[in-house]
Amino acid sequence: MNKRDFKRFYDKNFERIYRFVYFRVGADHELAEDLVSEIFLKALEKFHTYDPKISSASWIYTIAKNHLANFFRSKYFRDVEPLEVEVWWQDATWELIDGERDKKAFFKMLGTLNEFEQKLVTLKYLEGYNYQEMSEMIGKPKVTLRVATHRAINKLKNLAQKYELKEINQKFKSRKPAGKKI
Amino acid sequence: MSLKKLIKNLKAESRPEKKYKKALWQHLDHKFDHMYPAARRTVPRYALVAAVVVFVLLGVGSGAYAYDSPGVIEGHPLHFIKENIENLEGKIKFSPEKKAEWHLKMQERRLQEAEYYARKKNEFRKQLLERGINEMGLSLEEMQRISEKEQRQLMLQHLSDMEKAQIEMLQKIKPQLSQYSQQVIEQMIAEQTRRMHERVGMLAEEDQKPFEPIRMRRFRILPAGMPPIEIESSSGTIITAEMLPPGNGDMQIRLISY
Repeated sequence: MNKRDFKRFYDKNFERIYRFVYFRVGADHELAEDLVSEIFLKALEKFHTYDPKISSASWIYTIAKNHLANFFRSKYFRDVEPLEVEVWWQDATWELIDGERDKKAFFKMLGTLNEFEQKLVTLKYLEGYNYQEMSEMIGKPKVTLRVATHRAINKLKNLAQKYELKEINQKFKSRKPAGKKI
Repeated sequence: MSLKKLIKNLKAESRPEKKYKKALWQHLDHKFDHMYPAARRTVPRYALVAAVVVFVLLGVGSGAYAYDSPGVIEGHPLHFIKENIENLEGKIKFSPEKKAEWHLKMQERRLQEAEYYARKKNEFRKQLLERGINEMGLSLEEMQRISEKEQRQLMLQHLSDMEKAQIEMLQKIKPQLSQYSQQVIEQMIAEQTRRMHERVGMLAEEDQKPFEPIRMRRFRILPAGMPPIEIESSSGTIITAEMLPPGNGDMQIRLISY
């Protein structure tokens, strides 16, 4: 084991783990930074057990998931299981975002998908994993995941179109009728 | 807003700061050295190679600049490089011919430096001229050790050419300098010419000597009045001589040709 390997590992996973944490802690950058630091310190402690041939991304993903579950358990809730963390944001986090309506709507739409589909969409489109890495994490063949992700994103697209139509209609309704000039 | 754009915005918003990434890596790097001291490498290999390449290039570049530039003289930060290269060059000259040549080259370089300063900066550097003259003296000393007459003559010719060039250069730069510097230059020219004539005259006298010390390799005593014989000297010179009648009990040989 040498430092160069660890640096490569860090560069490859840093952004994804950050996003994974960020979306699950209510889009709080400061809190995400603290947690990501702790996650990578844990990874460093156990780095001698890491084998990139067995798992290139799922090893650190599992550490992050467990660490986040421990964090929620100790701070806010008692009965949080690591598996729940994977889709944790669907119930709580997105509500915490004081963002624009579009973002809230996105998470609401995401919530209409089943847990597996939500996980696929976030892994692929928000956190940036490829199908090979997703296959290692989830334990399903790449092809299956590709098809399932494609279906999930199509569902989301349909929902987004409806949302856009609704938005347009609302704008149209809220517009005042032009008065006649006398 | 389209789904694609929404996802793109979310990704941009959730991107960590570069400063944070760098700071975290520095912390982890430090921890790594503590946790795995065996795997620690103070300088990465590629960085070491790059550093060596940069160092060599800088060294070669500044060495070449220092050696070639007449502006690099005592007091210049690169002067020590120039001095070391010149000294090294002198150390690998072994024969008197090569050493004399090297001293002449050094003289020429000092002259160029003096000329450069006089022309570019209107500064008269007496030390440089003195060092040049000193090199000329050392060159003459080496020339005295050259055994071959022709070679020595050639070197002497070179030396006198150099001297002429030096005097011409001094004459050229004189008007640009102060009156005091002009006086010093005139004195130097006079002194140099005197020393030069003295030394060249000394060498010329030596060249006119008919005999070099000869150790006979073959020697036969011949009765006086016999025809001349050829004798080979230790240096391979064939001399023709004849025996003379002994005077005061000493044997006498008269040289006919060599």
